Amino acid sequence: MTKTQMLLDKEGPEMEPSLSYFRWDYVGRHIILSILSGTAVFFLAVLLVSLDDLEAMISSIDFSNVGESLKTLENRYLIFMVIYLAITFVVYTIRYGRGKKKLKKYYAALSQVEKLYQEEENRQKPTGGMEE
Amino acid sequence: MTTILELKELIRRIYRKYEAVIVPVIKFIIALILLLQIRSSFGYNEKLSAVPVCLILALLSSVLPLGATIFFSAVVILADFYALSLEIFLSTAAVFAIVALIYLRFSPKTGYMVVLTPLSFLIHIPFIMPAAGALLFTPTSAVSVACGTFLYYYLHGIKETAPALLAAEDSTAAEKVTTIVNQITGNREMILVLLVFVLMTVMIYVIRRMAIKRSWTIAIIAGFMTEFLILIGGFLTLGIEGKTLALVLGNLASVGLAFVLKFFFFHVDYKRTERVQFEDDDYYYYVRAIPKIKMPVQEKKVKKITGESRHTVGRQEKKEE
Repeated sequence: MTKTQMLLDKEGPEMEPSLSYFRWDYVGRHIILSILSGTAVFFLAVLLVSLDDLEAMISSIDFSNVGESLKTLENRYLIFMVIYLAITFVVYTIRYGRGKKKLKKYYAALSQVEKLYQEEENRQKPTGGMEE
Repeated sequence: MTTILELKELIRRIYRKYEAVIVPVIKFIIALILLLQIRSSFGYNEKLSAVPVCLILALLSSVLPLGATIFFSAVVILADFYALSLEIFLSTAAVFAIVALIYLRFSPKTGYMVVLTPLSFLIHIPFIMPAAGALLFTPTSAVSVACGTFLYYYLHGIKETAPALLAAEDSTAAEKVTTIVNQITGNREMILVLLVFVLMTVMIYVIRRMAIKRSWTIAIIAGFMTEFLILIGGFLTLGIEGKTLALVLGNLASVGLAFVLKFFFFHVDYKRTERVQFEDDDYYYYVRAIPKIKMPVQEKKVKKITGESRHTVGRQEKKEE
């Protein structure tokens, strides 16, 4: 029982996703979160790099090329997001699978404990001798 | 060998017994080293960089979760940069936000790697970090190591250029930002090291998980060889000079540390390998079991010899007397 509890304490957080979610719900949830964080990371990086040439950019701004610049930015964003989301997909799919394996191990330990309790119970039961 | 194994068991026992004290003390030491290092490298904000403040923050870090150490360090660095220049402060805040978003998304549980990687660079053994991540955790620790590496190079770059920025009073905001952004985009050494660390982490992890004999030893040797060869080749190609000696010595020390980790976390006896088969309700198992090498620490006995009688007592009994 102590071993089972220790397993639950140690591995509990990792097992939690496979207990609470179906695989694709879990991965999908993290993909949505990654869309938000990836977008924030991309635009922070763009802001940082564009600050570098902000003065040159403002002085040489050409409104006829704004569409083209936006198109380039959009393409870069899409490439970045595809890579970012692919990494998210791989990481969280593996994490879910690992949690499931640990859950299986936990259930195996639980069934062992249950067997032990059953044996204990059987031993304590009266053997059913003849009544007087 | 027996003595070393006994020593290992003794260390394990002591750690288990006094874990509640040892962990906060280690956290305190790491936080204090980190904050003092920030103080000596930057220290532009005199109030936050004062030694008593560092001690208080380190003390708080020792009782709070690891995230607190990272948070305090980030706040002190940002306060220092705010005192230095508004542009550097804003750029660094953006860099920290990017790193935090990536790190929290993929590898929030290996925060120590983010903290320890810049410190390992300072003592010239950064190569141990990807190896330690791959040996003790999962490949996602590469994210933490990469974040730590990125932060080290970024902050090191600021440290190098800050005096020049301070001296050039007439430099515009754009010039300052350009200098900072160049720390990120123009640092080819950083990009090379980042890629090599990620590759090394994945490689060591994949090999050590293989069902082969001496997988940890093979993983360590293969990982370090690959990292060393790529880095030395990369440095030659990029024309980065004066790093060879540090690379060789750093790698040798890191390999030694990696084997120390192996000794503590994966010390097994392949000669006593057993093959067992069993089943449960759902599966048949064909298992190759390799026993761990364990050496029980011998209980010391104190022999008490008196004039009247002789008897042997345990240490505890002796103490009670």
